[in-house]
Amino acid sequence: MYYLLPLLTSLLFLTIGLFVFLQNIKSRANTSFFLLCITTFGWQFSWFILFAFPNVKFISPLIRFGYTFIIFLPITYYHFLVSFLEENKEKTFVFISYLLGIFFLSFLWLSDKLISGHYNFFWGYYPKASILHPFYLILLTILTVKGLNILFKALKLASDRLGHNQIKYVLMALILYIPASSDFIVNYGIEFYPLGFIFIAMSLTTIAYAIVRHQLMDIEVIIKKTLVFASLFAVAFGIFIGITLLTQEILAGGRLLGLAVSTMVIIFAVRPLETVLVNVTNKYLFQKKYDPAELIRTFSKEVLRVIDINVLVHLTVDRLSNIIKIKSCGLLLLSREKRQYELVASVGIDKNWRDISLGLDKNFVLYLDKTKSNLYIQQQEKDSLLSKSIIEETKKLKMELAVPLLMHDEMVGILVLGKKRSDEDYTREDIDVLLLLADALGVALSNAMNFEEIRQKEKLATIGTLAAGIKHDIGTPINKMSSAVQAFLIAREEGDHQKIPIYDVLSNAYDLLTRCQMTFDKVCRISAKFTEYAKPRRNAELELININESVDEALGVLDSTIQALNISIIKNIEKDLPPIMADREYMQQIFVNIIKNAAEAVEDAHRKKDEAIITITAIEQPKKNVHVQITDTGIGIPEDNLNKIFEAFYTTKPEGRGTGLGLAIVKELVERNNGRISARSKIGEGTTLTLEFPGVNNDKQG
Amino acid sequence: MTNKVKVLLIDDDFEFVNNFGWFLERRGYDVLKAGTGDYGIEVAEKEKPHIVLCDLLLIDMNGEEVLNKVKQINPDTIFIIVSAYVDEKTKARLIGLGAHSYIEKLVKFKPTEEYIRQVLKEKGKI
Repeated sequence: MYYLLPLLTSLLFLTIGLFVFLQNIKSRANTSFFLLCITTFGWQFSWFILFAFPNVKFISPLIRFGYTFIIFLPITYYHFLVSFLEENKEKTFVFISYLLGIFFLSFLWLSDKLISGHYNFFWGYYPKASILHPFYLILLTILTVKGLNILFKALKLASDRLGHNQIKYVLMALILYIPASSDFIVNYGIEFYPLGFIFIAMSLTTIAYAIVRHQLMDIEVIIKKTLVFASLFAVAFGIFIGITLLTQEILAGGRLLGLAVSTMVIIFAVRPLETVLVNVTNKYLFQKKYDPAELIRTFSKEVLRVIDINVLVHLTVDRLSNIIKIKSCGLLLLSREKRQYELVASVGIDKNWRDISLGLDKNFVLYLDKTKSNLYIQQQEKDSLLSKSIIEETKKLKMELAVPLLMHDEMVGILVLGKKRSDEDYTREDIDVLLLLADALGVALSNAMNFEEIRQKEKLATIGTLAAGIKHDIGTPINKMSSAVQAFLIAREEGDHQKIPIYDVLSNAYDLLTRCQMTFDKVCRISAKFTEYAKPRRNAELELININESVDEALGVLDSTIQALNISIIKNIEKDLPPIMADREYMQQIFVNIIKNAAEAVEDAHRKKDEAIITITAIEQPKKNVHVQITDTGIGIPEDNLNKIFEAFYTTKPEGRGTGLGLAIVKELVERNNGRISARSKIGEGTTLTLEFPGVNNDKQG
Repeated sequence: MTNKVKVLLIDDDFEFVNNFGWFLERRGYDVLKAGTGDYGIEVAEKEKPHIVLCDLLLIDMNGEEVLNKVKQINPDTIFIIVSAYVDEKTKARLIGLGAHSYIEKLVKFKPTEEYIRQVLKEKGKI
């Protein structure tokens, strides 16, 4: 059984080495890494044969064969380090090492000065060290120390994090490889099973990890399949050889049977084994991998369609950080008035810079705005293309990657991305996908910003109309009250009160004051109605709402408008209509907008008085659902345009009269209250809007 | 000023009509009062007032209709709109239809009376 482990190690090294080599044949680092893998393979594979086939005839050449690779192991390792770190000064020393290697090699094959004979240990035969062997160990030690030295130096000098990480892992790999030299002790007759392969395997894993996570030797994703395949191959081969040999040992002449059994085992084990390996590699090595298609899909289906700027920015950072698995993510939005970028949504960003805003004069902002391209701090730092001030600004913000969000030539926002949760670096692929996304996001943000702006304008226009109504509503009671007060004062001035008993005068004054107080209250109520309407938009606060009350509140707001236009309102609301769950204020706004629209449509139709009618009907539907219909006797809407009326910017009104957002806002508000809105219309007869609200389960309400 | 100036007040706010009417009477006007557009036109036809002060939003009709009828009866009648709020467009339209001017509520008795007297002088009614 002792031969299985060297077998697995050797095969793994061979596959990884070949793979790295084939990825980039021209690269010195890749080639030398391949050489290192070959020597490790040769060493471990020879030992596998040595342990597995204890045939005395072949021991001597086999040991020499294996030792050939061992001699060149530290040399190829050093060679790899020099190529990887581009330490050109060390090239001579590498050359000398190879010469020394050949020197030892000649003694190995031509004499017994390096290795003489073998031990017979419990696991099998093992080479015996001779006079020159300690000299080989000296060379090995020198190479190891030199290797560690150049790695430490390079680590200190590494300017960018990517390179720093790569060197860190190569150094770790070397340190892990060193204990494998304990195998040499066995060469001097101390009997313990040579466990070097464990350290070698660990070292290899570290290298593989660095390749996957830190783009060591420019190798990316395909390695996953290779790793799985290599492991699979190694395990299958191991099973094959192992079972064949076992049966052969146990049953004399059972070689054929062994072959058959191992073939069967492999056939049945390969598929489940592959699944396990894929899962394991996915879990430990490729955790970072996300599906760029999923990112794009989520954004185009779910995020980019959102027209509400607030919802859009929050969805963006949330989905982005979840899909590409990053520790922090923020979105800075351009505030044209304040001339700065403000952090409007963030995930995982600490309080200290949650209120951050970046002026347009910041170097970092200037850089993004000028170049119109992404800013990857690590990469830029490495190429030292950036001024120190920019690097420092971004470091304060703890951002790794910043992507400008452009609309035409304006940078409407900046996406700032923190470290990935897996602590790895952004790849070219990541950045490409993010840039693609940024294009679409820029357009969506710009649309949402414009929508918000226009919605504000529309609101102001509505407020203008309301203000007129409110001026009327307030002016009328004040004028009434004032006329009474003025009459009293003039009567007093002109001596009228001297002719009547003082008690009557006082009583008049008391009446007047009482009525003044009532007028004040009334005026307060009216102005409160106005301020309530003008409040900024917020999330819906659902409560039990009586449709009848909402309609009455809306009619109260529109009272003067409706009167001025000479329109009759027919209210036809079922008395025991069940309540709905909705936001009181929003319901009022919904009805105000719809009734105002209806009134304008009726006005445009120039109906006679008895034909200018708006009918409001509300009925209960099955499952306590409530349907409300508002029908006007306006000009009607052509069928072709009927489906457009809820779209933003669509209007049938003449220019300057409306921006076409009224019904778009209504639709949004209805949906925020979990309702639906639809329209039907007949030219020349009028339009009916139907609102549907889900019923409230009273049982659950208790 | 042997003959008193006839003023017709049309407003659905009776209290205002009564109080302002009381004040104008005290200043020597012959005051006629109406609470609806219909009745106001009737009075205008019968009494031929020199000047009409009319609210814009009446219970039964619009001030604009009253204006048209009054001008039909006697184009010389001075017609002044009294309302809490009128937008500029409507104001312009009413002036175009023959309204003399527009007074915004809240109506201050004394300055309004002075204004009425001044208008009457300009028109040669007194």
